Amino acid sequence: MSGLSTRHVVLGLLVERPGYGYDLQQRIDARLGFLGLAESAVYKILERLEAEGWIEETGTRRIGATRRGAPRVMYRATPLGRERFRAWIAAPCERAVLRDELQAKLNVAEPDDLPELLAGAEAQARACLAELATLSRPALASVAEPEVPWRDAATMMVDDFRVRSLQTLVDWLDAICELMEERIRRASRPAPPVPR
Amino acid sequence: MTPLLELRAVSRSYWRGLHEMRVLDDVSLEVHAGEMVGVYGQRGAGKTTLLRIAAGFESPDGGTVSYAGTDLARCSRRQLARLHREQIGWVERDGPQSGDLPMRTYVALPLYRHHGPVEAQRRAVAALARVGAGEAAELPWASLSDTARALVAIAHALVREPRLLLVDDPTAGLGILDRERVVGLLRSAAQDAGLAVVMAVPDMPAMLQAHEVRALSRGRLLAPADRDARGAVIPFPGSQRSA
Repeated sequence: MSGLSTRHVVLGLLVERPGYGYDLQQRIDARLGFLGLAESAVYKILERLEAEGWIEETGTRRIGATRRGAPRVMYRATPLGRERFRAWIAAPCERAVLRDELQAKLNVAEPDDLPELLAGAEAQARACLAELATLSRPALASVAEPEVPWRDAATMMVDDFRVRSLQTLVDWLDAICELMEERIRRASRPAPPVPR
Repeated sequence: MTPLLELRAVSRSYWRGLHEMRVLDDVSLEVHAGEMVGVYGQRGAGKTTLLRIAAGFESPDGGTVSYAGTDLARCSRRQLARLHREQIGWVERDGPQSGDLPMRTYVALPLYRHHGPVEAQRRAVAALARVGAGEAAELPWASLSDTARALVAIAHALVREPRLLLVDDPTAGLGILDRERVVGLLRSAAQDAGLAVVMAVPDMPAMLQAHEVRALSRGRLLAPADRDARGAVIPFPGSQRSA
């Protein structure tokens, strides 16, 4: 995920509303769990953002609420930070490269491995269905309803991307399985006599 | 509880010259009343064959198909015809044979025999209104949009008040909002009216509203992996929600 700017993500959360380190880490976990951002990493990003002048302390400190009893530092986005955030939103997006272990295996496997690759591909297709089942929920059309909270609508759209990616993956698995099966079949039977 | 529809180890092949094309291979599926099952498969994956066998329009080469506990292979043609008339609804997008039939008559046709034309047409108009295609009542098939055709086809199947609904690619050619509308209608037929619905689609987003999902792949019907086996798929942005 080299292309994804975690500091812009943290900045965006502070544009949404002021927050402190632990709170930001929780919000990231709920919405962008795949980043796997630790609380310590969030504090580092906050320091950097503050040094850049993109965020500032609000001045209000909540006393005694952290685990160590230290005061919590609340941050908010500065006008410059908001500007930088909007510029990031408007900037072209980097496309994520789907790193798939099966692709790596295909590149290094030997002909004798075909049956295992087939079984692996089928298992992965079934895992895709399981993943789809976790996303199952009616309502994509409600994204178009202004009354539906934007945050929910955004989640549904990200889920829709997920579903389409799963479809691509399942279709690909299906296609390569058919090809590999046919390869096994042809390898195991003598070539038909050439008609004269 | 006995499933309303049960396919057990169903197989079906077609012969193309000397080549056996195995369209369905050891396919097992249970569908209960009140449940919508989505079957995903690309074009040519065998979805239509699966539905036709489930409906009893075709017999499997191997395995059994049971409807409400009765093996369809043991039914007489007469019994099967009765099932198709009264219990098993088939949604197709071919429309009426006769081009200038208004949709209220087309939808009413299955009811003529039992209810007479007046009552049949009254029920047909109500069925069209229920699926949100009331404005199609006086129009011929040729003048309908893809969305209206999909809705009329569903009304045509639902007007008989079947217990099982088999639906082949209901969202072909539809945009995202109309797709959601059509699939939502099928889901509520299952959830609210208690029908068992099997919907086959070449479109994974359309499966989101199904209670259960399956995929046809090289003749086999894949079920989702067990929860423990998950993790083979890398989570995506936003797809991980805090518990």
